[in-house]
Amino acid sequence: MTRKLAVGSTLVVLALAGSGCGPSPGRVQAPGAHLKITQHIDISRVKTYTSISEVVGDSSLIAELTVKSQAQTTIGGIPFTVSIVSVDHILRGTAPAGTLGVDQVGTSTAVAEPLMALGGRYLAFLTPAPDGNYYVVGVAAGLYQDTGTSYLRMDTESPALPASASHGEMDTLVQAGP
Amino acid sequence: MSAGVNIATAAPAAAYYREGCRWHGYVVTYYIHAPALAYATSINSAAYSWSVTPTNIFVNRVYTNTYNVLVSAYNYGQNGLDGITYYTCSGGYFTGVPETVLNTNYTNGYSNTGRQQVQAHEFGHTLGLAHNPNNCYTVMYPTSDRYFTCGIYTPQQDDINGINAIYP
Repeated sequence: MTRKLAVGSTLVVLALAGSGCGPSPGRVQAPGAHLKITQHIDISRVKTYTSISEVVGDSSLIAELTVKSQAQTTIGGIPFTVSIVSVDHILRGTAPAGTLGVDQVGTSTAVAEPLMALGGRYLAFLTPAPDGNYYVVGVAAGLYQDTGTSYLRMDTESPALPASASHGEMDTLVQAGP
Repeated sequence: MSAGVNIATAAPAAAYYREGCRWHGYVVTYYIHAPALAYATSINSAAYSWSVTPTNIFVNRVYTNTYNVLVSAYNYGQNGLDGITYYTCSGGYFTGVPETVLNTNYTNGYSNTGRQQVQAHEFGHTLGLAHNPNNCYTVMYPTSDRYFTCGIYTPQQDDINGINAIYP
């Protein structure tokens, strides 16, 4: 095993040296400066959502939102993004007055799941979070981008949910939910 | 090759997915943070399930403050996830201490085996495996349907193939 490790380390050095990662001719670069540190977050979801009806069943508020501001925080040792949103139109449920916060795991530099963007408009299926904010149901299953005429699914791990729906079609699905 | 003769020599397509990050060695140690001590039995079973695979890797518990992976637990509420792994990577290798967190909002209601399957999945990430969204019968399937629907709570052949590709 020791021999394997030594060979592996040598291969890494050789690979980096020949990968285009090294300094360009005429440039001076500190050793290791080309090794960028990246952050990663992986999630085990509780379940796979296969219909809008299922997502509705786990939601307490379904509404069109606009992201007004964003901040990064850490919850339980994991980076989160908190988006402060205005509620533009409620499809189902009751929203508190004024803006509300939506907690999403990950940040722009520690990407986990599709995040809402500053200024973006979304249809979100929400459930209360312990800190008084809201979560998107099913991590990102309950998040659709609002184009103004239709909703586009943002989640890549819920292929059984509609990839897109007109406002009217989605409203019908939401109202038909449990 | 002779004209008119077409011999397929490509290796079978791999079904597993890699994170693009691995450890330098083959023994990965973990420390159970106090909030997760109530889950120690399930966590240790998850680690053992990786150690007994026909691979070069071992996942061993340590009780000192020198370890590779921190295993913790936290109540995030109903946010749709029962486990998270957070890590940093540089040059294809893990840096710092990857942290796995079980969401007790859900896992408190799971059996020991239910908790084990989540932790086995998170350990898979800390070894360098990514999600396999195409096969529910793997421990790296993205949701706990891997257990509650497909009955999987230990690494399967596809997961093992992935580890053997990462740690030859």
